[in-house]
This record gives sequence, structure tokens and C-alpha cells, in this order.
Amino acid sequence: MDIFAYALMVGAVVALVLSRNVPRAWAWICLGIISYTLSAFLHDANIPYAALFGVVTDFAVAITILAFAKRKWETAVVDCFGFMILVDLMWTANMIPSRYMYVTILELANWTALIVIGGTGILQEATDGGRSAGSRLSRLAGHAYRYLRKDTAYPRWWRHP
Amino acid sequence: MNVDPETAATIIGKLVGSLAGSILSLVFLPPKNRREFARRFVASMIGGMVFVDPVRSFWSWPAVFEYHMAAATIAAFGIWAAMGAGYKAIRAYKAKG
Repeated sequence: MDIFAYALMVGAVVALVLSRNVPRAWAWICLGIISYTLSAFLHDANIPYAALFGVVTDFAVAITILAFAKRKWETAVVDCFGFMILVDLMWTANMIPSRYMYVTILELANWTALIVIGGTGILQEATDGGRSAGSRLSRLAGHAYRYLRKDTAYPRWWRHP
Repeated sequence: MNVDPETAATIIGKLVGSLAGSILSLVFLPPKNRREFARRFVASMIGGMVFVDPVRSFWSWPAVFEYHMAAATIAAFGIWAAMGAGYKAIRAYKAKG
């Protein structure tokens, strides 16, 4: 593991602490950590088409979140994983010029997912469940929080006949 | 029954590609319910198999395993997206009355 992997692990722990009161956030962060560790291990093992295994792990996480998602912030996390799947496929198809760029884009997508989860936690703490009055900034935070807490745009189709 | 290995590889490539395209679509364009999932899955599997060669010739890809698979994935994803757009249009029409 390199410095970026350690930084991401620290970020994941911070997001875990921030989202301690957000239901399901812990599960998604833990799934993300497992997926990241597994795909990083496969990349380091230098097996052919390692990116395709990344597609499989990211897909597994995304479909699990989508099946149990209730709020909009969760579908934003699914979109991050979907983006990572696309990047992995583009890397397999030689459409990304350098490995440096490929790894950087993946790291950014990982950090975006963590910021969405941690940000929801911060907003929940800061706005007292979206009912904040007072300064313009806190009202803005309340708006953002209520948006993230909206029911998911995708239905929980896995559960329904 | 004797099957030429090259033909078998082509068919397997198309099948695997269509399956990948149909399943990956679940994340990008999720269906509303299981019935819609079943219909779109079957249609994109068949469409993926049928439209492999037009997609492949559009980019003038050579007839090798990887390109059969990639073309089938793109075709299956395309059919999935097109059917989703169709469903959306029908729902909008019904809601309008």
C-alpha cells in the first residue's frame, strides 16, 4: 500500500466518525473499503485484466447500495461507483493514456464518494435534521441536507414485485 | 455435433458481452420493478446478440474474441437504454391521459 491508500483509509475512518448517526452509511463505507482493498490487491498482483475485477467488485457494491438505498445521497454514492466502473472499462479498452491518470481519476471518485457520505453526516449534525434557522450559511446547509435526505429517485426495485 | 472452435469463440464472446452489457446496465439505468427488469434483460440479451456485427462494423473492428465481446456489450447497453426511454415515454403518455 502506498501513501495514497493510507490517506484514503484515514479519510474512510474520518467519514465513519462523521456519519456515526447516519443509518446505513457505515455499511456502505465498509463495503467500499472491502472493494478498494480487494481491487488494489488484484492490481498489485499484476494479473491480466485486473481492471475487470475492479469492475466486478465496484458493480457488487453499487448494486447492493442500489437495492437497499432509501435516500438521495445513497444514489449519489452509487453514481460514484458507476463512474469507477466506466473508468475501469475505459482503462481496459486502452482509452486512458497513462496509468497515472487512471489511478488519479479512481482516487478522485473514491474521495467524492467519501465526501458525499461524510458530508451528509456533517450536515445532519450541523443542521439538527434540516431544521436550522439563523445565518444564511446554516439555512443553505439545511437546504443541502434536506436535498440529500430526500427519498431516492430510484425505487427500491429489488424488493418489489 | 462438431463445432468449429472459432465459431464457438465468437458465440461465447457475443453471449458474455450481451450478459455483461445487460447486467452492468442495472447500475447505470436501474429499472422500476422486476417485471420491467425481466423484459429489458431479455430484450437486451437478444438485441446484444443480433446487433453485434453492425456495431463492430461501425467502428471497423476486426473479428476477434475481444471485439465481439465489446460490441455485444455496447449493443446490449444500447437496447437497454432505448427500452428505458420507451418505457419513460409510455409512462409520460399514460400520466397525461
